[in-house]
Amino acid sequence: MSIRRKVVVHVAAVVLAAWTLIPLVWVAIVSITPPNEFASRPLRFWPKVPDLTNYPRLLGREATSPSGKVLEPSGHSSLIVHGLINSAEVAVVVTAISLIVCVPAAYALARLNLRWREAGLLTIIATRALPPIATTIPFFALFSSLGLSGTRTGLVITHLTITVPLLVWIGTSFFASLPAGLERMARVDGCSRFRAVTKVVVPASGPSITAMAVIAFLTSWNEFTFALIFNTGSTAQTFPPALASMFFQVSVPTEVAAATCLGLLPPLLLAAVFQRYIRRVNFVGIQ
Amino acid sequence: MSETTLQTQSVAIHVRKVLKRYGSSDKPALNEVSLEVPPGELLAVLGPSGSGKTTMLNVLAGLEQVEAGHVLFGDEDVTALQPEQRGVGVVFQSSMLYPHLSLRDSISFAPRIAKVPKQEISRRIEEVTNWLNIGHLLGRRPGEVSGGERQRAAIAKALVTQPRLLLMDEPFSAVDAQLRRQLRTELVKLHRRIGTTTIFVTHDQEEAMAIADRVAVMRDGELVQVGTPLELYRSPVNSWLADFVSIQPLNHFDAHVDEADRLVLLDGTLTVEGARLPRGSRVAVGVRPEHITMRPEPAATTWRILTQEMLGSVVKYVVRDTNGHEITTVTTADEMLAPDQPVELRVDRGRCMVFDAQTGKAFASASAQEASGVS
Repeated sequence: MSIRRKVVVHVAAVVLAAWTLIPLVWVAIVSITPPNEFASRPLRFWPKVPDLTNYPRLLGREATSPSGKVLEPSGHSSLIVHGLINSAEVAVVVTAISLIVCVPAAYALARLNLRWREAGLLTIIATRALPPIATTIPFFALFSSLGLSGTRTGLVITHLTITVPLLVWIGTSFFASLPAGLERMARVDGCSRFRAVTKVVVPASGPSITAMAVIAFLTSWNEFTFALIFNTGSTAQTFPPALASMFFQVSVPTEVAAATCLGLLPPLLLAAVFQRYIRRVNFVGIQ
Repeated sequence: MSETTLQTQSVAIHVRKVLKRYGSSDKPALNEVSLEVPPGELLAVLGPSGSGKTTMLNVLAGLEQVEAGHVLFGDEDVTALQPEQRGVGVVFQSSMLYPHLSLRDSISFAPRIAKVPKQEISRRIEEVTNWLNIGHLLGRRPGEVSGGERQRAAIAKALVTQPRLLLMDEPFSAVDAQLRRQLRTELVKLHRRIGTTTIFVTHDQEEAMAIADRVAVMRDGELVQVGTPLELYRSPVNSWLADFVSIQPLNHFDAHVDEADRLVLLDGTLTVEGARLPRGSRVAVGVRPEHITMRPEPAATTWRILTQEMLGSVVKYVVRDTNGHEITTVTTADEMLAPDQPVELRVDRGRCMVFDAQTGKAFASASAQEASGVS
């Protein structure tokens, strides 16, 4: 790479990183700004006295402010705590079911000589072209008659309609990139056809399957449309609509910022831990 | 040399009229192929891509089911056996190993599946990896070792199962030319030591000719010829095979036999005495560049040197006659001849490969006749 190209690439990377990170950093700073300081003008970038009380208060605990005042738990704590728990439960179940369905499906599509393989793959991915909102009315009718509205089960089902095609698509390219003779080698080494998959293909695909799991989890964790329409106000409400509803209630901006950060924490942790696996995905082809 | 404790076995392989087709394709990948391999032989299966050589290997390994015919290891008919029941070791293309396992775990994978006692596995690994000089690399993954080391590990992996038959599918295709030559020599040495019947698939004729006891040449799902490298080199059964097993491209001539029983090549600018063929017959003649004798002759008028290429121990010349025909010769590099130098060419009948002009099939060559005392 020429020096000039290097400079251009690095500058572009810095601009892109700033574009992405500045709002996040800003939200994080706001979340630890005391409300009175946030209301005062001119606005300071960094608070004089950082105030971490929003976090315990949102999680339903009392907290002592920097000035020594004991503060009550936040009025939104139940909303946020239940939202986080529901989101986690839904995302974990969605991830588990997605993997159980998509790993074998993607493996079959990648490795077996199936008729209509290309057409099948294209149909699967074409369902992703449909905006979620387009399927809400049929889902609404269905869920009403089945009693699934306002339940985590219902939300899991809607999320699977997003994650399954996505993971089948990504997984197919992953498995197709495995060395061609891997299963043959396993067969010669004494594995049955099935054992060749469980003892060799799956372990050898550890990083890919991890990436698939992370993508499924993040997709479900962040999903907003279905969660808003089907579960708002119910006991099964997940975090994204809970956070959104904070905006429409009488609330303190610094508290909303802290809630946002709480919701960002799990995806950021996942991304940090598994970033080297996620990097393998580029959503067009893989690697 | 340490005592070999690894139990090595070698069986005769009999392939009898094996027919294999893929899917609905009419053209068989193996068209009633029969092949006999004596115990302990190192046989190369040589052919261009699509010739059926890899299918042959897969059939022997049990990775492909055959439509008709039989495969026997010694007296045992293994046609219906699964790969894991056959007792074969396979070195897969590009020396594949399990990408997610250390070399030790890759090598011990098959014996572990077979529930060989741990101590026994360790003993075998130690022995095999000592032979192959990879003992110090066992903790690494395939991505962390060089191509040659991966190659040795793949061979070790195939050998620890104490196979009756060792199959290798283009194992050297992923390493550079120099290393490939070195690995070939090592393979021949290793084969001498263990004596396991070995079948080696390659598309590289130089490789096949260099290492194999015998070479089986395949084309379009059929065996064209099976013989020692020397037999293939001296007496190819047809002109395609003569070309295919040549390292330097052959000179091809349309020729006829004149009244004086001479082979007349190239409108008569080159003739070969003693054709021993029916007068007037039209044939195709192939001559290897190294079998054309050339000497400088200032008075010569027909042939002149066009170009010369120094190839180390030999020099390759392209020479041209007054009619514009070109032929290639190779001579030892004792003396370099300059372009435009007039030369005389001579070809002995014994060095001519004579083929039917229509079918390309070989007439019994003079050298073969002499060798068998027919003359």
